Amino acid sequence: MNRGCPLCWRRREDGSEYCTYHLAAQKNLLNAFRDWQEALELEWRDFLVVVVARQESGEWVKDVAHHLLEKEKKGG
Amino acid sequence: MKERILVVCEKPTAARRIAHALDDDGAPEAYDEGGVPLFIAGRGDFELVVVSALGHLFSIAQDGGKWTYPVYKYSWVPAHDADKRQARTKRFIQAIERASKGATGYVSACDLDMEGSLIAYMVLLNVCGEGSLNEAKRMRYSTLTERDLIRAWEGMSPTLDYPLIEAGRTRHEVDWLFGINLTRALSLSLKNASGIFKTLSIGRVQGPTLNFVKEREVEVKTHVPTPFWVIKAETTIEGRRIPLDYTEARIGKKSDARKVVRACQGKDGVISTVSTRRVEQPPPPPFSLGDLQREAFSKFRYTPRTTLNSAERLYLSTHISYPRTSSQKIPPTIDVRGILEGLRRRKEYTRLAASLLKESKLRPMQGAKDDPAHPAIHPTGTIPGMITGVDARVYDLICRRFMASLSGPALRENVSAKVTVDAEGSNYAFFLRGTKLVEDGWIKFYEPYVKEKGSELPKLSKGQKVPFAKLRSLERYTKPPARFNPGSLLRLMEDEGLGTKATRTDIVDTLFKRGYVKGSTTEITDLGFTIIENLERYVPDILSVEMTRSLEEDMGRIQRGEFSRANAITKTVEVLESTLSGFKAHEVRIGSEISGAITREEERSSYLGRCPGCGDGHLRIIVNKKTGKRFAGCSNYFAGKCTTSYPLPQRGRITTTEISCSECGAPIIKATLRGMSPWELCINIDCPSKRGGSTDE
Repeated sequence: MNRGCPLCWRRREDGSEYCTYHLAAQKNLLNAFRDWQEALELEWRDFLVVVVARQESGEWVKDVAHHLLEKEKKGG
Repeated sequence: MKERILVVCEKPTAARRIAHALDDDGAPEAYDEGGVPLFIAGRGDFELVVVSALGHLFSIAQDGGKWTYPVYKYSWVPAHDADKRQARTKRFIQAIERASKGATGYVSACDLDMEGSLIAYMVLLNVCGEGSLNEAKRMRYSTLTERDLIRAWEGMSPTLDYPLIEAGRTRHEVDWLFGINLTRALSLSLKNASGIFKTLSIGRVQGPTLNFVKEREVEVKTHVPTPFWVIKAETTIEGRRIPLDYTEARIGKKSDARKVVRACQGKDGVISTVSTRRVEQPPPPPFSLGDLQREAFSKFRYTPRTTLNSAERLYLSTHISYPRTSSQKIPPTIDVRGILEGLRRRKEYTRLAASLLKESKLRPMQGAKDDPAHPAIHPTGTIPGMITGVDARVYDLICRRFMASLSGPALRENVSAKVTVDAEGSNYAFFLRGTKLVEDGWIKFYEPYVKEKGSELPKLSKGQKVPFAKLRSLERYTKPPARFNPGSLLRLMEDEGLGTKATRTDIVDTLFKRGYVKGSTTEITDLGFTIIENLERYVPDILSVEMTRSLEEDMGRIQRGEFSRANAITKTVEVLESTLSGFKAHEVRIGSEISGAITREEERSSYLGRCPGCGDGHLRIIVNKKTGKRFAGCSNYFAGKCTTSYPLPQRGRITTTEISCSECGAPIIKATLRGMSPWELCINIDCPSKRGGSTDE
């Protein structure tokens, strides 16, 4: 049984934690992080915090960034 | 006894204009046949009976059967039989039937396009009989002015324009087949899965158009901003502050941006080169319908529908040419000088028109796009009396654009001075840029609709020192692409060959009407998303631009006599057969997903904010089933955990602001009443912020 995306009502993509859109947002986050690292020498966590706060960030990107931060908090 | 000719027009206003223009004395006899206008005009040896349709008097309906799918059998029937809302058309058909008695000749005087040709053909075929088609002629005109109408009468085509009629008929039938089958498939999937009935339409143009909106929304929602830096510099020359552009518009690393500022701070730049270039700006071509709709949106924020309706009113009142045109060209047959003579009589254009009339040759700027039936939109030269509001603005835009297209190019002198700074062993380059209008050319005709770009620079020379009055680096972030506005969506449809100039506006309107998109930024709703996702998953062909474009090409080939209607219909049925079988196999799943989206949309629109009573419930708009009155209640009420409720204004639209009142913590809501500016208020009538005031509801 395919479980739902933890961030919306859509189905998860095969082999992924997220639905197709949140997965795309996660991929964009990973790609953008390289640019951010080069530009600002930021750590992954700080990068996620800024992305959540920026008004230019897409809604699904914020969802994923927030979700990753929460997971990190629980894990740590 | 005079020979009786039946002249079929598209709308009552057009019938009146045509009857007046064609009557020898300019005073036809006017009759009212049970609310249907009818005119008898005398023209030479002929008695013209000028009748009006009301747009399409005949439409397509299913041949028997139930409200299900697939449906492939249909006929053309009176519009009032196919749709009860078209009841008024019955009187028009009856009036034309009575008026046609004794007629020996027939003329189609409907608008010169696919729809107009089809309207007259269906009237003649179904009301006057098949025999009338052999005697029927076609008037061809682009304005409703007396001069053009008389010319159209005198130069009538000896037959109806059958290839256009055939293409129009095919388009209606293909669109009907797609529309009826896909709409029923979607609506029935919802009904069978959830018991909810809601019309969920989709069509061969609507699908790809909604898909464009969805794809843009995905880009917006998955956008990750990336930082970059811009160098903001200013200098003062002759007491004027002038911006300096750094050679790199964007710097990708913060440290690199800081390095530029650190190196140049406190130093003077030196002008190393000054270059001057004269650039000609050609005048814009006159408007096609799409151009006019985009310009009216850009200048006045008018929706494409508002602009189209206004242009149609201006056309019917003879002030402009036929607006549903793709052309950006004014052919040499149009009496440009005569139009300018007319415009000269209007105070606002007297000076401009007079200056153009002094030219010995007037050649309008021609755009790339053409339309075989109509020229670009242009004024006719008949001057409106009192026009106000939307019509006045749209008319002004058309007149000024027409005059601008007849004018010469504008000439600009662009100056660019390179300013270099040698610092810390490197060379940094900045630019001073200015522009001066040397000849205003067409710009003076199109004012106030053209923006002046940039400003003039003072005199600069090589070796001149340029001190920095301001120098800093600013952090910026990349932005997501802009959502579509109604104008940019129409342009995309036009570029992709989706729909026609006559149908695009209706298709965009339908997306809003069905609740698939919302707001001025054409944001896709959950419902719109779910529809597209399901179509993408199970019947992706419906969203294919190629499939729609191929059908459009078939329509063009039919118009040129290279393809038949029967072939186009067979192709459509083949596409639908495979599409619908794919759909049917997943009907329940699709229906339950759509039902979920509808519920989410309803929940979202009824949500007002967090409940201040229990803290974890949500206040929602609830309608009392007995009284029909609405109030705000907590979502925890049915769990027996919270009884918080507030009265709400009973009229207008209420939406959440996502803000809580700083005094009492209750949600602040936004109320919108038609014709009034929206206002925000705390939902709690006992809120301390309201003490000393009064509440109406």
